[in-house]
Amino acid sequence: MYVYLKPEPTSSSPSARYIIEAIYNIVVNNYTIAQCNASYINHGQSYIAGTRPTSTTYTSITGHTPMMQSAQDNYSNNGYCSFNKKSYATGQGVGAANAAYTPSRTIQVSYGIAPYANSSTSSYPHYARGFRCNMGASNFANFAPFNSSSNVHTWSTQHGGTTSDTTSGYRIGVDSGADLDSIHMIVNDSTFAIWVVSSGSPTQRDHGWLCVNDLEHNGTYDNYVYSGHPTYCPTAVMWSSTMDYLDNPTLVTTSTPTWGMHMPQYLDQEGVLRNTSHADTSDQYGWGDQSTTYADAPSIFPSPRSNVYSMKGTGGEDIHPLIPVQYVPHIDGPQFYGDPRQGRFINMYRTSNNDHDRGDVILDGSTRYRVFRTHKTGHADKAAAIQNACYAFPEDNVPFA
Amino acid sequence: MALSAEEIATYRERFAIGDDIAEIKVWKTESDDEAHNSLLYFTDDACSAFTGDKLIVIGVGEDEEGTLLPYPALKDADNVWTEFTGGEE
Repeated sequence: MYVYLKPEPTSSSPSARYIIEAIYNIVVNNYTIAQCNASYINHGQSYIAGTRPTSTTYTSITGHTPMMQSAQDNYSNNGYCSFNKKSYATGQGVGAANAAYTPSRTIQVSYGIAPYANSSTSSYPHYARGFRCNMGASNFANFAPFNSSSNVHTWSTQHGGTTSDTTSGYRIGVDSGADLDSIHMIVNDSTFAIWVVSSGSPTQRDHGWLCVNDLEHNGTYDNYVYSGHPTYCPTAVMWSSTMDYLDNPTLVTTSTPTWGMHMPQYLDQEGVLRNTSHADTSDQYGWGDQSTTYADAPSIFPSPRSNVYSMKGTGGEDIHPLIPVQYVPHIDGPQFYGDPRQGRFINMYRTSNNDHDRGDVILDGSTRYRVFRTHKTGHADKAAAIQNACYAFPEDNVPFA
Repeated sequence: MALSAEEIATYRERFAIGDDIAEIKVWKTESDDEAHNSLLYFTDDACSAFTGDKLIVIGVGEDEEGTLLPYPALKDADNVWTEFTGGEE
């Protein structure tokens, strides 16, 4: 399903926890928009479209339902939740172990102000602000973009705790509904994608995108690895943040773009559990720079840096491609430590640059795809990229078939 | 006994532990119980945790004065985790 949430533009700081509560209840508890708190979610402008995910895909974690995490619970202008996302291929695969195949990931979603890394210092760099998400392994560890079990960072890897405030250039919103324009989500069996846009004019809005997507099931390899390593799950996370200019009608660069991805708990060719490396401000970790240094870091195809254009049809109309996104576990690393599990990100497509606004629909026959405009593209240096990359996801849930 | 520089480098590479983590400690277990491998069993405190088979690595950063932030307090109700301080396993 596609979810569009419009926070009440007049709601102030205490709204952070209610916005998170709305997200949690829609994803985990099957809420409708009408069941969300109307003081914080604008019912007239919010909507849910498409079929729901399988009821067992998104499940709660004891102690981590909204407003229950002790590290952040004392802050009235902060909201936090986490939940599990099972693989779309749960219970599938070859062999006798099918019923035991239940891999999952943990997803954290937070908004507002919270202290960084157990810090008791209330000085500015020790506090994260804005909207932020994490994905980790099923054992509540190995999170990314920032490995924090309390999810305190900004949208990307950036976080406080240094001698200066490093977070302002990577922050999406602050702590209130008034600081957000909209929240978009794809919540399906194979995909949890969230796209948050801060408030302001088209040249002021900041965009954060995070996508947790399953690889197409490999019933032999996935079931075998999972049977011996319960934190294995062929599901990766990708994210990006773009300050100011993703909504600008003129295609221009942005100052501090990030793009990153992470596959925690993969099994290398020697049978050792590892986590992939990432550095989302660098062009050398999977962005697709031709001189990529850290070639054992994962990437995708089409690469994040690559342009994708529309084509012309017989009537002169634009044809927007739906290119299946592939997982590129490592590029040309000299070591044998890379993830051998290549594959396709199921139900995730790259489509043509620039041509789509938030939540636009591409029709393929009767199938509706929702488009997310996520990051700058088209240059080896992401800070010099001006075009806007777009991804499409089925609006309806697509169960395993 | 403490982890050697080589052991620390190996753990850092294996789990892609970034420079924002100033120090790591490693715990190991012989338990086969999957529940014991969860960070939610290991501690209630917020932290940066990296795991392998029967292995947890906890990393901590520094505050703005360069002081190491505290390691999380262990719960480990069944007392199955032991800090690994390096050397032969």
